[in-house]
Amino acid sequence: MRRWLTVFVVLAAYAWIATGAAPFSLVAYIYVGVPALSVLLSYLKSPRVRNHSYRVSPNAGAQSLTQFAPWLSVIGVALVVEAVALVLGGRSAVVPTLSTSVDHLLATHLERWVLYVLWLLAGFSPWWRRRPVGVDREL
Amino acid sequence: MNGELAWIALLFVVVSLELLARARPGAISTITEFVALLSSRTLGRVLLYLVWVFVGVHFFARYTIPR
Repeated sequence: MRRWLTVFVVLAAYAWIATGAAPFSLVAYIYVGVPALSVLLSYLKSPRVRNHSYRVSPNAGAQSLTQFAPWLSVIGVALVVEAVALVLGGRSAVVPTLSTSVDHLLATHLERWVLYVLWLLAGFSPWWRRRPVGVDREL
Repeated sequence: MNGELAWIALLFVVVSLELLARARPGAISTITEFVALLSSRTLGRVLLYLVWVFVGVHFFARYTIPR
C-alpha cells in the first residue's frame, strides 16, 4: 500500500511539473514522451503487463457483438461529430472538435494536472489493476 | 457552450451505458471489459497505445488556452 502511495505521489509530482511546461515547447513534448516510452518499454519487456487483459477480464475474448456494439456505436458517433467539426473549421461555435472543447478544461494549471494524472493512470493501468473483474481478493 | 453540447451528450451516453452495463451484467460490456477485449489482441493493444499517446501529445503538449 505504501509503495503504491509513493508511486502515486511521484506521478502526481511529475504531472504537476509536466503540466507547467508551455504548450508546443520541446520540454512539453519530452514530458509526454517520457511516460509514453516507459509504457512502451514495459509492454515489450513484461509478460505480466502484456497479459493484462486476461487478468482483468479472463472472458474478454468471449464477448458477443451485441454486448460491445453500444461502445462501437459511441466511437462511431464520436468520429462523425469530430469529422463534422473538422469540416466546419475545428473551432466552430456550432460543433467544435473534441480538442477545442477540451481546451476549456486546460485553462488552469490545476485542471491540466488533474487531466494529466488521469491520463497517466490510464496509461499505467496494466500495473495497478491486478485482480480480475468481480474477484475481491487475489487467490 | 452550445457547441460543446454534442460532446457533453456523448459523455452522458457513455456514463449511462456504463451504469446500465453494471446494473445488468452480461447484457452490455462494461468499459473495462470492452478495453480488455481490445487489448486481448496485439493490434488492439497497439491501437490503444497509439490513441493514449495521441491524447497525451494533443492535450498536454499541443493545447491552446482559449481567450
